[in-house]
Amino acid sequence: MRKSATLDAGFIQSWRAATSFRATTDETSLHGEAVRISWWARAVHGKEVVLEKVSAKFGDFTAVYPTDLVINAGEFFSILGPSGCGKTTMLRMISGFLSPASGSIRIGEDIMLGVPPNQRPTALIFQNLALFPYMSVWENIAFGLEARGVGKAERRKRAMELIDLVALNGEEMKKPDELSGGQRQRVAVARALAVEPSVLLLDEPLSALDLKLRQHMRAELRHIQRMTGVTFIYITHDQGEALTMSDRVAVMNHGRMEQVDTSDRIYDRPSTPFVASFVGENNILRGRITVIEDGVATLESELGTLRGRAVAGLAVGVDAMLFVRPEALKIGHESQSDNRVAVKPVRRDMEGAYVNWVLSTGEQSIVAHMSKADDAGIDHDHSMHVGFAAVDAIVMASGELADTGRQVDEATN
Amino acid sequence: MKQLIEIYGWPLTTFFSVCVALWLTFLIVAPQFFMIELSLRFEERGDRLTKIVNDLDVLYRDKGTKKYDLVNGPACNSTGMVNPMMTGDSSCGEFGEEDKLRLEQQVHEIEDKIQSLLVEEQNLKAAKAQQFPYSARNYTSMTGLHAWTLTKTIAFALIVTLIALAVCYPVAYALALRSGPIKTVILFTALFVPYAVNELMRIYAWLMVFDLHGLLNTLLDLAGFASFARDEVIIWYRFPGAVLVVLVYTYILFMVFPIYNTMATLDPNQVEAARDLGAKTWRIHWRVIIPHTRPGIAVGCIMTFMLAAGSFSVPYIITRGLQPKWFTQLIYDKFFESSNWNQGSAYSFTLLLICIVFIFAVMAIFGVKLRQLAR
Repeated sequence: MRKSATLDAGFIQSWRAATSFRATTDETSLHGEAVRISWWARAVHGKEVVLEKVSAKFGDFTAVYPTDLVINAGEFFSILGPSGCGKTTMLRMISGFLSPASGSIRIGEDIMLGVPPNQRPTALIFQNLALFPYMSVWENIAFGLEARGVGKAERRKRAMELIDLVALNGEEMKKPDELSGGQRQRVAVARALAVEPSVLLLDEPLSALDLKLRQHMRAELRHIQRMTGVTFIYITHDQGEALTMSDRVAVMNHGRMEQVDTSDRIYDRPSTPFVASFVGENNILRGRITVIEDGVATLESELGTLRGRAVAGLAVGVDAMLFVRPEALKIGHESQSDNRVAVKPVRRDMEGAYVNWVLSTGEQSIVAHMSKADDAGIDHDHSMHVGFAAVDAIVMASGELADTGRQVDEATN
Repeated sequence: MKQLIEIYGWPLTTFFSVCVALWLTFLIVAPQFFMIELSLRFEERGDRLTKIVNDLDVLYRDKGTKKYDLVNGPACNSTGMVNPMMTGDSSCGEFGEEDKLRLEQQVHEIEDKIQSLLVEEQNLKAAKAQQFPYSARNYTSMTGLHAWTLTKTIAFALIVTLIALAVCYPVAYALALRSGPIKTVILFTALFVPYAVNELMRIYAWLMVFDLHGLLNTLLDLAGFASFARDEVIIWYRFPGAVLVVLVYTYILFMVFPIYNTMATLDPNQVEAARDLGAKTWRIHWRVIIPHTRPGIAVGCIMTFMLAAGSFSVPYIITRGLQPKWFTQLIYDKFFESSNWNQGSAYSFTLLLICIVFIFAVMAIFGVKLRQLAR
């Protein structure tokens, strides 16, 4: 098994082999390899990170507005936002490379004010990994131990354990530029884990990888996080990454936390127009609130009366936006219970797993995703209706939308 | 070549090629070849042939003088005293018959001598032409004193290189990794401004510092450590340190720039990563920054060493004869004072060889390949 991890050319395969091997040994607590890993798992445990009124300024520019945030011990926490939203600044404040303009950061029991990066229980994985090119893989991994004055033999022993953990056996004498992108990634993870951090900070470490590898590394990172119990704080602008890996996600925009929630709730219950438009695809229908009753808002729009779930604090008479996911729309002649909009077909894109319909109301375009089965019954040539349930739509006061370049109402026409 | 033609066209490419060929031939290959060839020919000073040539010169001159006297009569000075040494056109009478006969006799004797010497010279030259003309004697005949001078010059150049490295590494570090764009511009300007001044002027400026009544002594006088009144001042030119300081100052940019250039390409994340992993400042330098900067340090050391070892003007101007000469001054003397181009060439070629050895030594120490240096 270990041999395959060492020699296999397709490293994804090797990782699969290695991880499945570990899963069994971990569970059954066999001797040998599992013992080595358990040493390591014992040595680290995550700590919670608490931010109180933390803000950051560069000259006159406020990068992060005063923010309260609690990241639980052992959690995989992502900060998601477009570039320039302040997410990297958050990370640099937690790691200690940047001092907050105000507020305090606590990791575990310790206030981090004035503590330099090399004395914090954090380790940072850089976007470009920042591996040391003149050191071999094992020296890279052992660098943190070297800096702590650990002897060479002990250093090497621990490095080899970590190399085993990230399935890089046989690569320890290579230089970073002799490795593949995914292997380098794993060296960076091992190097950061070597100093037994309580909190691991990851700054878009997957952004340089190609799609297939990226998807694979997501699973790998998640696996390592589960195994080690270290608190992961993961910075990304890729919502797919954030949603798939994280226990909780914070969506950030213009230096403010728009919403902090689980992946499911971020997707199903966005609390601001920005989150609704930034995470996933959404159709946006605008209008004015006329009635709010039992948590359901009625919206008068140019497309008629629409109804959807009202977010908290919504008032009658304000300009509002109704968000409905493309997959919540039904196309058909039979009337749908809550909402019904007359549309004309513009385009039908076959996406494989589903069919992407671009429709036009005359004023704006609407995108609907139909399963292959539902798509079969649609009459293409006639004017049609789309309908959706009020439960599937969210109504909130108009606000700033994410500039993602894939807004449904700007996509066509 | 094909690419060059594609980019520049035929006429420009031809022009470039001719220029490069001329440059290579007349400024690199030919002088170097000439120098090496010269250095391998040993010119004997003090052998029979040299003596004959010298004697012939003297005899021809004597013969000319005596013939002149025969025609113009004895010369005299303003007091009317006969002075055979003077050959001015003021004639002071004529020789008697006896004197004339004696002079003619002497001219004949000289002509005979010349004749026999010419024969001997011809024979010696013919014998010499038979011998193999090349030998390493110009190299091996260096006196102990000159060898010691060479050793000292190399040692001083090494010291200059080390001092310059010690001074320039922090400067380059500050420039490359620790300062924002505005600070970098200011620092670069500060580095460059002195170099806008002519090199000789820069060196002369140091005389104001080291002079007997210069800045240093004035300050010491004011502080009470020296006294102009009692003539208790320090003659700074006497100390080799004076030359070293000026050399470091003169060639500092050649150390700063290569180091800065390579250091500036270091990804700042590397430094942050090392710090984040708990490394202290010296370890970050030793393990991350210096390994990356090695090619720059190597180039800086090589340039500074070659310039210092080959510097003529600095020791010449600063020491003003109050210190033993540097090897470069010896080379100058060989060429232009004792007219011994052969040994001068040998000396300068020796210095060149030592510099080349130094280059390879530095490259070995820093583990740098020639390809990396070229970057």
